[in-house]
Amino acid sequence: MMPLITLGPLRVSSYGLCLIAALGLWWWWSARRIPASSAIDSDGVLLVMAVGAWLGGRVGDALGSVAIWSQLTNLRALEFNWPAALVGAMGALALYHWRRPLPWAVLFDAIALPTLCAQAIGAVGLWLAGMAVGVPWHGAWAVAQAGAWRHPVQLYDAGIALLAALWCVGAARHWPVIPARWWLLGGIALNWLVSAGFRADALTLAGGIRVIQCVGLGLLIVVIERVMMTVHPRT
Amino acid sequence: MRRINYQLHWLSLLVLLLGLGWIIATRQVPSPTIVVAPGFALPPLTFQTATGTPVTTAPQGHPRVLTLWASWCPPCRAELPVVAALAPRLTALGVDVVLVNQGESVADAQPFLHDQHITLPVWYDPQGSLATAVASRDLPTTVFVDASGVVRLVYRGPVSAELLTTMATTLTTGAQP
Repeated sequence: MMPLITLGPLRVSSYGLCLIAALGLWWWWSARRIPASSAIDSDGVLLVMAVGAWLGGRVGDALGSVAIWSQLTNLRALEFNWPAALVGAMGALALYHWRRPLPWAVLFDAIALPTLCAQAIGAVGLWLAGMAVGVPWHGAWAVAQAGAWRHPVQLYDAGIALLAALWCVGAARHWPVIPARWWLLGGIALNWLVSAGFRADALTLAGGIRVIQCVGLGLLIVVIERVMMTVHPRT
Repeated sequence: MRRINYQLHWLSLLVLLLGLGWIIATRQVPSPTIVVAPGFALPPLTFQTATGTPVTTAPQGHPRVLTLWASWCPPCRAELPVVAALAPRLTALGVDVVLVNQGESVADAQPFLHDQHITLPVWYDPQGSLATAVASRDLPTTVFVDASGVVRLVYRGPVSAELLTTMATTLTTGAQP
């Protein structure tokens, strides 16, 4: 962590600042995109998602720590913080839905673009703080982090998220029939499949196969199938 | 409609094959050591001892073995007595042995040290800055630093007495690990 500002007991890192910026943007933009006609209590839903994501991320981090002290050395699960945050947000939303039914499709279409952009900002924060570093590498755009030249994997994360966001905007014009939520899921899946392959530490199966990449590949196949079925519905 | 279904499965299959190839090509090779660039100098981080005396990772003219640990971590609790027992030999070789606590307060860590009669120098790193600097999320981690402050090896997991002795010799003779 790289503390930038010390305010009494508070030490705010570049990662923390980027997370705050990402959350602020996500909240503001999502609230504007949720249609008033949907009858969604936007502030309530976004608060529930934000709290769920935070709790999920913390649980993911704790699971990584448990793996460390229990000597399960295969479980170096730093990259599971973000998937855990996603699961936390979805879990919180499911609880909310149980009490107050939500139009899921409308909600996810509204938050797709802000979520991808927020993910990109958070990934840049990771890069600035030198956290969640890439595998050692000596290529043209390698960066010096944690004692070695490495793949700037955090920037790959940000790039893929932004690419998915741009795709989301472009696709809305050319293929309005495809809902934005699938581009969001596609961006997440691509990140897990492609970018995670460059991360230094991961939860692995036998032979060093990264679990997160397998999940990403599965999700990507689901997204492709779903998008194709939307474009060319079976009769 | 049959043609469309064929395209759909073909695209999914192509992505599946490419994805599997990518996953295999980028699989993680397990290693207990962390790659550090030749000449990587440990950044000058400042910590405190139990009495509040400031200490630094900047080079002090002696090789150092820095053991990252926490009292809640069972492998650390098993490893520290081994390190403490070997420390006089390492010190005789001219190597400083320092225990760098990660993320705990003095009050949390001291009872364990007291119970184990460990009297080695202990630095307190509440932010885990040293672990971040060497890209390790594992405890314990052992960082071997030569006299000029260059990191020679980062070892994840409990370190053996043999590795400690070998690395201490390496650090004092300047040989490559």
